[in-house]
Amino acid sequence: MAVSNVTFYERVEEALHDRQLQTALDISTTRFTTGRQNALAALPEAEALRDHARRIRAHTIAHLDRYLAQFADSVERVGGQVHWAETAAEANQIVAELALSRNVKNVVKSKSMVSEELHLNQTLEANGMKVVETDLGEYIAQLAGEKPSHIIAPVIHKTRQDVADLFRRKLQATDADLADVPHMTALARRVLRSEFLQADMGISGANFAVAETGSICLVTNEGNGRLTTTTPRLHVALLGMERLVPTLEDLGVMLQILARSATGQKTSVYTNIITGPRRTTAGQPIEPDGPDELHIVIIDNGRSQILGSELAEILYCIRCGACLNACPVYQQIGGHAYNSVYQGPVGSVVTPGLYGLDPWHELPQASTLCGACREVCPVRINIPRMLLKLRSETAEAGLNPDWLKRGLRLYRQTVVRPGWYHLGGQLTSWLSRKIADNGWFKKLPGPLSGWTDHRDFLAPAKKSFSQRWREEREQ
Amino acid sequence: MTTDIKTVQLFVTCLIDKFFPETGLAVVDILEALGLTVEFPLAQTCCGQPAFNAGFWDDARAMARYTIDVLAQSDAPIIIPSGSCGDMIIHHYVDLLANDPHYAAPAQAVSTRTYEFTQFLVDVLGVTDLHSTATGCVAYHASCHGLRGLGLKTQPHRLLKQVAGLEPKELPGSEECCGFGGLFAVKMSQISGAILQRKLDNIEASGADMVVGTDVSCLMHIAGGLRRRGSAINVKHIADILRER
Amino acid sequence: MSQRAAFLNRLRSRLPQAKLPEADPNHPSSFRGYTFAADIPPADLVDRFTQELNALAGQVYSAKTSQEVTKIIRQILNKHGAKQLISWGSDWLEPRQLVATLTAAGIEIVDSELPVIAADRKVKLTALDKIKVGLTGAHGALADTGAIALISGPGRGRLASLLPPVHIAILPQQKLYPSLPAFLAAHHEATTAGSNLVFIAGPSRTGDIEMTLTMGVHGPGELYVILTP
Ligand code: SF4
Repeated sequence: MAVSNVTFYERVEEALHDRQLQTALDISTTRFTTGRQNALAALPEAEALRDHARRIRAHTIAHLDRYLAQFADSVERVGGQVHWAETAAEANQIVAELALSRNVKNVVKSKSMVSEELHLNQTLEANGMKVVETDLGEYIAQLAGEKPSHIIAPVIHKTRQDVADLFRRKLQATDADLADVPHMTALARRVLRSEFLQADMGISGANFAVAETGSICLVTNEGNGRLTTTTPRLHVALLGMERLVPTLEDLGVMLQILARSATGQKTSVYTNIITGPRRTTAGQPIEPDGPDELHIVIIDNGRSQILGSELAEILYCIRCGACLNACPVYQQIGGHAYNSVYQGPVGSVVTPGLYGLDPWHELPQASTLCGACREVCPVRINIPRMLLKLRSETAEAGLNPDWLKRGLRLYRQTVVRPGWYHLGGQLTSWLSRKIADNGWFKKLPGPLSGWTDHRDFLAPAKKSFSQRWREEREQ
Repeated sequence: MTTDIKTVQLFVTCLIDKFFPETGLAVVDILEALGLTVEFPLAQTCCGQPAFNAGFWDDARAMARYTIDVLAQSDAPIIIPSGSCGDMIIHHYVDLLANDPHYAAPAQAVSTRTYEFTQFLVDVLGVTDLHSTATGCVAYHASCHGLRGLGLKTQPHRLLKQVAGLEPKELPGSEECCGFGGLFAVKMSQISGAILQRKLDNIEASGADMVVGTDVSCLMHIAGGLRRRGSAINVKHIADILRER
Repeated sequence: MSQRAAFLNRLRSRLPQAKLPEADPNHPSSFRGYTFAADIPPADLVDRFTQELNALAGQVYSAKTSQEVTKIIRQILNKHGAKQLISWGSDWLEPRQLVATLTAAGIEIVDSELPVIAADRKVKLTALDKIKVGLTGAHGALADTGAIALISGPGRGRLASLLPPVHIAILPQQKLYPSLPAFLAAHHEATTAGSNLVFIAGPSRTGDIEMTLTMGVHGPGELYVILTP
C-alpha cells in the first residue's frame, strides 16, 4: 500500500483547520448517528437481531473455509466462474487477463472498497482501458483525483461549489448544468449513462455473498450497482473473502440492520441480489438482459493474516460505517487523515491488520477508547479491545517515541514502590506549586506541552489524600 | 441499609490522591455517614491503566499484581470513585492476568468485589437519597469507561436527583467522549483538544453553572479547558456534591 | 495444488489461531421466532406499504379493474409524452390482456432482448436508452420498507425497471409481505428462478453532493406502483 510522506499528524492538522470539512463532518456524522438511532429504535427487536447477526458472522468466519467452498460450488452450479486471489497482484492480474482476453475497452465500476485496496484502476488503465467510477460520489472523487473520505459518503469533504468547478473543468459544464444540485446530478447521469451503454465490463464489489445459493448482494441508492451488473456483457465481482453469510435467510437478517446502521434508512433503494450470469438454454440466452459472463474473484490480500490472530473479530464487519460516524476522533479529523481505504475505528484495526504496524502504528493510538464504536456496531465488534492489542504489539515492537518509553519505565518503577511514589508525589507537588499560577499551569514543558496547548493543567494538591489520611487518622 | 456490609476498602485512585484529596475525603465522609467503616490500605498507588492503555502490558501486569496484593489483604468490598479505574480493575485485570498461574484467581476475586462509587451506593446499598443539599444548575457528563465499561447509565442521575436545591440541566451530547483518553490527550493533543471544544460548547449551551461527573480524569480535562476559556462554570466530582448536607 | 485448494488450505492453517468471540460450531438457528413476532398484521399491509413508499417519494395507485390499470398507465405515459414502453412479457403482467390493450391504444412495446454480440448489444442499449417508461409486474412487496421485489427470468428483464427514467410496477395486493425476511421465507426460488432478485424501495436517489437529496441519479427518478385486487 502506498504511503505518503505526509505524516499522520500533518494530515490531522490539515483536517482540523479545514473549515469546510469541519462543517461537513458535523452535519453528516450528526445526521447519520441520529438516523441510525431512530431507525434501530423503530425496528422491532433490534437488539436481538443484532445479537443474531453477530452469531451469524462469528459462525461464518469460524468456518470460512467450508462456506467459501460451498459458495464457489454454488456459483459454478449457476454458470458463474470463481477465481481465487491470494494477493492484490494476483487479483489485478486475474481481472486484467479477463479484460484483455475479451477485448474490453470500457470498464464501469460500482463502488468497491476491495478494488481500492488493489489499486485495480491503475492496472486496467495501464492496459489501455478506460475505467469509470459510477457512484456519484466516487465519480466526483475520481474526477478530482482524490480518495473517498467516508465509507458511504465519499465526498462529504466537498462543497457544491467545489463540485461545480470540477464539472466545469472536466466535463465542460455550462452555467445551466450547474444551476443547482439536481442539475449537476442530471449532468453526471447523462455522462455516466453513456459510459454504461458503451461498457464492455462492469466491476462491482459485494456487500454480502450467500454460500448456499452462490448469490452476491449489492446495495446502492443510486442504481449504479444495478447498471454496472446489467448493461455490460461481462460482470466481474470482487469479493473480500470474509463477506459471506451461509444462507439466504441470514442475508435477510443482515439486510435488516445494514442500511439502518449505515445511513438510518430502513432499506437502501436497491438491494440487488445476483445469482449467476443471465440464464441460457442450449447456449441461447433465455433472460432478456444481464451479463453473459459472471466472474467472482475471491480475495485474501492480507485477510488470512488477520484471521489467524487476535484481530479476527474485525472480519465480522459488515462495512456499515456506523463506527466512523460515532467516533469522536473521526468526527474531528474525517477520513483522509487515516490515509487508508478503511478509516475510523474499523480502519484503525483493519489497516494495520492488513499491512502491518509499520508505518500504521499511529492509527490504533488515535482513539480515546471511549467505546462508542463498539456500542453502535451492528454486530457488536469489540474494537477497543483490538486497538489495545495493537498498542501492545506496537510497544513490543518498540515503535513508541523514546520519551514515552522512558516515562513509562520510570512510572512503573515508582508505582510498585509506595515510598518512591509518595516521595515523588510530594516533590512534584512542592515544585509545581512554586511555579504554578494560582494552582494551574498555562504551559508545561517537553512532550507534556501537548496538554497545555489546549487546556490549563491543575497543579497537584499541597497534601495528598494519603498524607491527610495518615495525619488525620493513623495516629 | 439492606446489606450486611460493615466495612469497605477505598481505592482512591492516583489522581484523586494527588490532585483532589478533598474528593477522596468526601467519599469517606459519605460512606461513613452510611454507617460503614472505611479502610484505606496505605500501600496503594496507581491501578496501572496508563501503562495498559499505552500498550505496555508487562508493566501494566506488574502494577496489577502489586495492586491486587495490596487489595487482597482485606476481604471487604473495594470502592473506587472512578469509572475508568473501576473498569481497569473489574475487567482488564482479569484479562491481563488470565494466564498468570498465581494471579488469575486473585484478579478474579478482586474483580468481583470491586465497585465504582455510585454503583455501590445505588446498586449494592440501594441508597439514592443522601440528604444532600446544594445550590445551582448542574449538568452531568457521563465518562465513557463508567458508562460503556461499567454500565453507569442511571446511577449518577438518580443520586443527583435527590440533592435538594440542585436543578439538573440537560447536557447535549452528555454521553459523548470529552476527548481525554489518558495519554491520548498529550500524544494527540490537537485531536483531543478539538473534541474537548465540542464538549465545552455543549456545557456552556446547557445553561448549567456546574458540571458533575464520576471521573476526575475527564473532569480535570474539562476544567482545564473551561479555565482556558475563562469560563466561570464549576467542575465537581459527584462525591463533592453528595457530601454537602 | 489448485488455486482454490491452496487458498482454502491457507485459511485452514490460520483458523486455529483465530480469536473469534461467540463463534458457535453450529449455524445459529432461524431468527423467525423474534422477527416475525412483531410483523405487521395482514389488514395493515396496504396502508403501511403505501405510507412507506410515499415517504420514499414513490407513488401508489389503487386500481380495481383492468380498465383502471390501463387508464393509470396511459396517464403516466401522456404526462411524459411517451408512446413506447420497455415491458415485461404479457404472461407476467396482471391483467393478462394489458399488453394487448395498450398495443391497441397505440402504445409500442419495444423489443428489449440484448444480443450476445458485443457491438450489437451496445447498439441495442443505445436505442433502448431513448425509451422513457418501463413497465413490470412484481413478485412481492415489503410493507415495512415500501420495497417491491422483482425476479428476473424469461420475459422479465431487468432493464424495464432500470433504464428508463420512469418505472411503473403492477402489484397484486396478495403479494404484500410484512418484511424482507418474510418474503424470503416464502420465496425459496427467489435466487434460483433467475439471475437477479432486486428489491426496489422508491426512486433512485443520491445525497453525495452536500448531502442534498436528489432523485433519479442512475435508476428511474419516478416510481409508480399500481396495486390491483
Ligand atoms: S466495525 Fe461495525 S460499525 Fe464499524 S463498519 Fe464494521 S460493522 Fe459497521
